[in-house]
Amino acid sequence: MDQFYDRDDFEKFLKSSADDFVMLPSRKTWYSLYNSMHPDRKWPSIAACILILFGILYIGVSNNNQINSAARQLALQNEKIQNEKIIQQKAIALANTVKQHIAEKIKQELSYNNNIYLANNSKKITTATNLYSTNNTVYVAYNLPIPEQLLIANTANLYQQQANDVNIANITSIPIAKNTPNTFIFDDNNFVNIAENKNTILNTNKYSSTTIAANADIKNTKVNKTQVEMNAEKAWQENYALKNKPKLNKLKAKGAITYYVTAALGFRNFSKTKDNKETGNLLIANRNYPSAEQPQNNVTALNIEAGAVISYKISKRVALKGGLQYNYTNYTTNATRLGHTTVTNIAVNSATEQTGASLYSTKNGSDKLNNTTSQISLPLGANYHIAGNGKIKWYVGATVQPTYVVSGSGYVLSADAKNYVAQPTLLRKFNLNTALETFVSFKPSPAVTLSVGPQFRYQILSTFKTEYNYSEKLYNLGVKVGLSTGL
Amino acid sequence: MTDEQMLTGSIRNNAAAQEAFYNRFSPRMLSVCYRFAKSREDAEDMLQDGFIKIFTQLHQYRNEGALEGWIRRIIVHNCINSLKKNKKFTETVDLIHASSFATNTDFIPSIMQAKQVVECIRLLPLGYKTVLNLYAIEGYSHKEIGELLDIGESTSRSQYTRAKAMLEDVLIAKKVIEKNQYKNNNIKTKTIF
Repeated sequence: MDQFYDRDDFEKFLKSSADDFVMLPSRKTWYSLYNSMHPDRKWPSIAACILILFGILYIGVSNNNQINSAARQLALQNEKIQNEKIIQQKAIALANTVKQHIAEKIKQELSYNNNIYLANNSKKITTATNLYSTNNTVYVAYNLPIPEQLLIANTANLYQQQANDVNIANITSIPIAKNTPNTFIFDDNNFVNIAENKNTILNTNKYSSTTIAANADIKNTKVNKTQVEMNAEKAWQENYALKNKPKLNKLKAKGAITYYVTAALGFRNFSKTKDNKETGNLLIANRNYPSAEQPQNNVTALNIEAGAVISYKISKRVALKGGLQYNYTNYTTNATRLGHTTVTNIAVNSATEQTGASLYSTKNGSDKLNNTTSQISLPLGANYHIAGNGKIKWYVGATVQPTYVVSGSGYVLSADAKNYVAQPTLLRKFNLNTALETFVSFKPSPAVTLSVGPQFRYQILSTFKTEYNYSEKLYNLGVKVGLSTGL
Repeated sequence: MTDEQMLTGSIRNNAAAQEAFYNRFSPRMLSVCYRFAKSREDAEDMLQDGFIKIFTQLHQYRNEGALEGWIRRIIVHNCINSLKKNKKFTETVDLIHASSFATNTDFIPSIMQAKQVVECIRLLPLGYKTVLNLYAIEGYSHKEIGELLDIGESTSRSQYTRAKAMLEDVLIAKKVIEKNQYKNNNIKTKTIF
């Protein structure tokens, strides 16, 4: 650089004026610079964003479940009330018919027999003139202790057995209530089994104590009645549940969320893309650097993936899926630590000279350089159900994964391939990965599915920016374990 | 924070040291970028890229020569590289004649002279402006400019001669300098701050 010795006054004037001029940069420039220099410090905000995202998702899903559950219960109750009303109306109508029918029969009996007997004591309880009916009740006037044994049809039983299926011949019990000392009323509050006695009581005038059920039978009947009630209730509920299964929305019926983690071994494809002379980097093009890469000793290392995907079945065998995934890639390079820091040109193909300080030579040695990246990716793909039914199924799946590289160590080669230089700024920020997998799923319970299988993941673009003379494509092979639940 | 703490802290990627470093040098470096850039926004982008390079290469600074000079060299190189990314620049910088260029001197704000001079330089065509900045203000030789801009040394000389003449006309028109003032080696600034 000239030192302005040969400059004239005008040039000196320009120089001094220009040097006197200063500008204050905006604060935004510093923040952008800071973010570029310290990408790792974005982690708290990224983590907070992910947490908020999952929080919102969780609240949304759980609220949706509660709302649906409440709505389902309400619908169930309404339906039940509606059905109860219908059945009750039918039962009441039928019961009235039955009661009137029985009352007529009793009147007819009384008209020529003039007696109705009770079960045990064979006492006459009434005469035809004392027997009358209304729409809902049959009254029998009597002068004796309350004849609980009197057996007539039972509307409540009709109700429980569902009115549609009932005919009079099968009616086995009737409600009895004590209304006044001299009259008892058949209503829905008390139950007595009449079994086959209904016909007997109505068809013969030779009634005896055996004609009508005994007290003991009545006690048993009361127990039976309770069981009948319970059975009928259960049958009704089951029947209702069968006919009124809650309709799941499409997402719930066909969707599932899978949380998974993959442990894998990481490898790389490494190749030279351009010679120094082809690069246009004049500063290094004319130097006699070796065109071939020095031998390197790269050792595989543990890679980790963890994430969640939501899948949606679009056909019997195919499900689309998409989600969020964290990737940690790693492989180790054996190198030799230098006794001092060496400044070297980096193997870049842009016209910009890039130099870096190196502490390691590419000579195989005992020092380990961890080449790591932390990535966030959005896996988008599909699963195909190959075989299996019931609890165990076999799938294959594939995803493409647009990926953002959050941070990484980024060891690059020098132009002469003799040194490694840590140059994270050469790491490509956005990349694209793809993954192929096959897995077996097992359903230990209706709500949960476990899956396990091998996965192959390949990085389509180079780890480094295009200005780097080499292309590095990472790939890994691992085992993926997942847990799926419904949405 | 002392200069040494600022320097060593910045090399160790200490954010506070880097901020102090940035606050110390960024105003002057922004003015360098501003002379090369089309706009203030472009200049700030150049400044940001330049400081990233400075921080990543700061460990290479050997205390041989002024730190500001070392920083300035990186900033200037970065400005040139930014300009080179624009295809129009490579066409313009090789263009010797810029006869169609017309300067609207009324547009120049009448504020401090240093700013007036810089604004006049910025009014020059891109190729002229770049060569003039590199030669007259940054002190590069025509040979270095030729290598930096991928043009011949003679082209650089021609560009500079024309740029200088054009700038002189502009400065006279704006009455920043008087006619023939510089020929007598007696440049007098009218008002500096």
